[in-house]
Amino acid sequence: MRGLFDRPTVVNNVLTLASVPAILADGPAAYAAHGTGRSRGTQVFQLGGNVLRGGLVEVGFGMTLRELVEDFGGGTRSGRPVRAVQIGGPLGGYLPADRLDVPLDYEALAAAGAMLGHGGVVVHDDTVDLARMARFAMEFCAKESCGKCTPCRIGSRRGVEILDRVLAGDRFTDSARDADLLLLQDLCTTMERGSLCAMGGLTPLPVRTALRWFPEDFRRPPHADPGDSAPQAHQADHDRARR
Amino acid sequence: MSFEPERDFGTPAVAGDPTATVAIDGAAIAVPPGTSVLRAAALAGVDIPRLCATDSLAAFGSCRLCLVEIDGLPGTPASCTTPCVDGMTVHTATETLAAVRSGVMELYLSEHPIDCAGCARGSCELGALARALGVTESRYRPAQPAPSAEAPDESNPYFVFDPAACILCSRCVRACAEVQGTFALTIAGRGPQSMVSAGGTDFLSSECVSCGACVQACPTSALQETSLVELGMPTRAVDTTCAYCGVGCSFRAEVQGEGADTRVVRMVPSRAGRANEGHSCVKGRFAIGYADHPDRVMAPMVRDTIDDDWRAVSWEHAIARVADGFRTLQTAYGPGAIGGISSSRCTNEEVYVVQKMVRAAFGNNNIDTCARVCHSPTGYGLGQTFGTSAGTQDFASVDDADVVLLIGANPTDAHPVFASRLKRRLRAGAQLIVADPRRIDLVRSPHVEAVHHLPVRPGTNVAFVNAVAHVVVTEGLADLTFLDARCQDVAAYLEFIAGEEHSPEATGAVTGIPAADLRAAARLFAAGPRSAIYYGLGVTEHSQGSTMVMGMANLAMITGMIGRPGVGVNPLRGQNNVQGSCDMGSFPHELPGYRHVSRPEVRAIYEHLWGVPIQPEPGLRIPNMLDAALGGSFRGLYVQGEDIAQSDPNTTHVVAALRAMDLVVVHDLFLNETSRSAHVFLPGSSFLEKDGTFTNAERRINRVRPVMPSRVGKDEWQVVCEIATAMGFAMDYAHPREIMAEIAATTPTFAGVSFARLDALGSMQWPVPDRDSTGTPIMHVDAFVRGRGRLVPTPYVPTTERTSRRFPLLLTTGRILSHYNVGAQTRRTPNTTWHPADLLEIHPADADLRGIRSGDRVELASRVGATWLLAQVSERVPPGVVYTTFHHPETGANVVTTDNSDWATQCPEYKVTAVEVTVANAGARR
Repeated sequence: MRGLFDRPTVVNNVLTLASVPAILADGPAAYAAHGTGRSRGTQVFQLGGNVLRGGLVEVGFGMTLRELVEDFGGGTRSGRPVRAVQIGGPLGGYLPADRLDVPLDYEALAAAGAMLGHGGVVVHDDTVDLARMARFAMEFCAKESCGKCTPCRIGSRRGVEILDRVLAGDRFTDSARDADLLLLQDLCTTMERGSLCAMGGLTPLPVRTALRWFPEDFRRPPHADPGDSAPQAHQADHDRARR
Repeated sequence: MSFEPERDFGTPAVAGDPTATVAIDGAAIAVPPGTSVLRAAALAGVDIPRLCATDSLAAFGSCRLCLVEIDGLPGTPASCTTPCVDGMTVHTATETLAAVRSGVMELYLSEHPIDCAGCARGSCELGALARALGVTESRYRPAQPAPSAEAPDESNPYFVFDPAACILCSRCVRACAEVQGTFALTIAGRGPQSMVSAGGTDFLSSECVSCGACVQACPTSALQETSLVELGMPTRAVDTTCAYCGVGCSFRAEVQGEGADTRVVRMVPSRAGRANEGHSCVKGRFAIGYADHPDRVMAPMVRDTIDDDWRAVSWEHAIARVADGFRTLQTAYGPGAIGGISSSRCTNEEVYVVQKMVRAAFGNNNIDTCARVCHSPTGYGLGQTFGTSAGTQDFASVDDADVVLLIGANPTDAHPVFASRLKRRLRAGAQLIVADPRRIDLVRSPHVEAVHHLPVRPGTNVAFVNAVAHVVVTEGLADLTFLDARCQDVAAYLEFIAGEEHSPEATGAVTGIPAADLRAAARLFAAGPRSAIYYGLGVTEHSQGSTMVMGMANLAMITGMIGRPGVGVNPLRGQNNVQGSCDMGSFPHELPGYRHVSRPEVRAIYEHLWGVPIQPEPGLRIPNMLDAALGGSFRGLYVQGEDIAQSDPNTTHVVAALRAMDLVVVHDLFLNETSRSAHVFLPGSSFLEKDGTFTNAERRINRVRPVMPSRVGKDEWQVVCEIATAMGFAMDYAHPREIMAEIAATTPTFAGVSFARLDALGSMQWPVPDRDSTGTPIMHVDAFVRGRGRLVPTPYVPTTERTSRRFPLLLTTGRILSHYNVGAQTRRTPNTTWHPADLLEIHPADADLRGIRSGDRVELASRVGATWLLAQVSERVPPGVVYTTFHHPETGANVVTTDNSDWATQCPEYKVTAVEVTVANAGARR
């Protein structure tokens, strides 16, 4: 491994570099005055999904997720109630509507079973099917996996297949579904502990939080969700959020 | 398998003192810092499950089975990629780990064929590990087959690639890169679509050189020897040594059956082999089918004249015919009328008894060896300058070299396992200078590129090496301290070499090397700090071969590049035991250990032991024997394991000489060109049947162990002893170890050698002066063997073989990877898949001028003779030079080579023949 021009080289992302002018202009103390606890300074949130006012929001750490979604975002674009918010990016965890009062800092989010990640926030209304969103996480992993390590390369494919069976619903007995959901939890453990990098290691986070907060979505009878077009719409929200 | 595979510690060893003490499941072990937790655990006797890790490859961390828990560290890191730190406490068998490993294994099994042949056979580590982890089936029910489930690739004659059994561990890809250095394999695609690919084509059409490193590395049955698929698992293993080139790779012959029913399932290179460290090439690993080829002669045969048909006879009859025939000739024509030629493919013990038969039973010194035609100048040149007739280093020394000067050698074809080692060092940053008329592969190949390619014109090596030395001396780059402390005749040499006639500018017109390139290369070599010379037959097979060897020795001495790791003068020797056959007294002027027959105190050793007088005058060399045969004074010849009618120069002359003799005895595996002129044929035994030792190019004495008894009823050493005994000189040994005991008792450099010590130590490099010594990896460390290194002035004398209007091109010869020497073995294997015929390489400019296109049948004519072969138009050769190999007898390459030879040793000048090339049959054009 070599640095640029064979010199020691620091690699930073654009969020870090964007903070530099403000720190240089106003001094480190002014920057550190933002934030809360051990999460100091500011974070740029990418507010997207089913939200009235999407975009980039730079605030000091510590604002609650609800303030971000409702005050900055203005609630859902569809006007329907917020049901779930995914925070951290495509591999971030889902939080249900009644848990949005969590402060947006590293420690508080970790305590809530989520993570700050790169600050992506995707809002979903009450038409979302979290089983489909769990499948989307596995599919995303299968698509993005480099293929080097086993849990990510094979596990993501198996995850998609399990969730396809769960979503198909009618073809399986309850005990078959229970076995599949247990297998899904075991797969998540294998991927979390076994994956080589955060790609496979974090894919279980949206899956597990969906299972934890929205268990009913994984036990629906077939065709009981409101319309086949919804999943595509929610995935489109994701795609918009990623752009 | 009823034998244990060699232990695999998971990741490579790390150099250093064992200062990091770690506790692994309660067992404490001290390792060099940086050693992986996986390896430390293996050393501590804790076997952590893994599939992608093997100690021949850098840790990769992909299978995720070797996970451990470490106190104070979060999560479950992979033990293969986690370095040991002093004080670490590691747990390898917790419930958490068992769950993750089971989970990973279930994922593997979800894509592994239920009917995996390797799992059923026992050659698939995945199946074995699944059972060990208690995972018998996978709960996953894949909706679609694994993406790699394509049809098996059976294009390679020696191994099959079955993508269905592949687990994407990349061991094959990494082995191809890290071990072999060919970079033929890759992982194509990404994510779940990943699959092993030979670059988008099948294995045979790819860059693959069929070394088999990938097959050995594969933990499943995705890459498997065809022989294993056909024969099933081996039941026992025998450690032995390859019988091809002078690298001398150690192998484990994995076989089925006992005694005469033994079948070799596969050859697996030994990790413990110090010449090859677990690697091999296509010849050693795969091309052993000749040993049970139907062409093998299984019974002795005789005939009255060479026009008669052969008839099979008993051993007693054949031996009596030889003994009586030789004695009759000696009675009629004198004791010197017969002689023998020993083989560089036979063991030290076999060679020793042949020269003993000649010296004691024949009563003359008419013993010579095929080394005459290859490295005799090495023996002479290094003997004159350093005091010993062998290379100065072990192969491992190249790992320490900063600059490598490669002269007249093509290791990727002729010494592939050494080439892999060299390439590894070059990828790590060492710099390469290639001096060769051809653009050999090492000039530029994946991740390796020579800093300088000096296209020295054939026949001008001495002018070239003098120019390098001239630059070193006149630019003040010589190591005067070394010269002052270690060498003699310094002033005279420095004055000689400083002469302006040796300057790159003056020699450039002769060598064809631009002066600026040569100066830059000379400066690079002198700067080192550790510069090594490696060379091959492109140095020795010249009229000034011995001069060139001394010129290289001079260069090493004036730059102080001798006597330490990473430097030295290193011949890459052609045949498996060419070093040993020379060591064993195969030359007419030297008793074993390179001691001249004129020395009474040396003769006395043998005269005392053998009870017969030893002649004090050197006997006849091969060319002298042939000349004497045509002159009528030399009438009988015993030839062991060498086909002089194909391999020696000026075939017409050789055949005429053989036909002039009354009794020609050939002792070989197959009828060959020489046996066409023979009266007695004695069937030989292959290396799989031999018990003895081979000595490789680094002076390493390796054991050759029989995997089966001789298939022809008698070992070769026994046959020779019986001939001698029948001639009235009793030679009787119960076992080859007794022959080695006699060698050790009579030869100071072998004094500490015995089969028992070799078996205990694995191998030893001579000199082994006593039983306390374990051998000498690097020679001339504190002083040269001869005391002071001798600098010898090396004036350049052009060969008399010159181009002319009639013969305007220079022919030079060489080797190709898939074949060995005259091809007697490799032509009888599927290696002909790669090289079914010898080709004549010719530069496009020369080809255009003659209207020659690739594939044309051309006539190759010299002043001596003419032959015909197919042309390959190639920019590998420079204009004015053509090149061919001599692996196929129908090529008759030596029909055109001349009688010219090295002034000191009569080693033939194979590398320079003036020729003309013309289209022989344009109708053959496709």
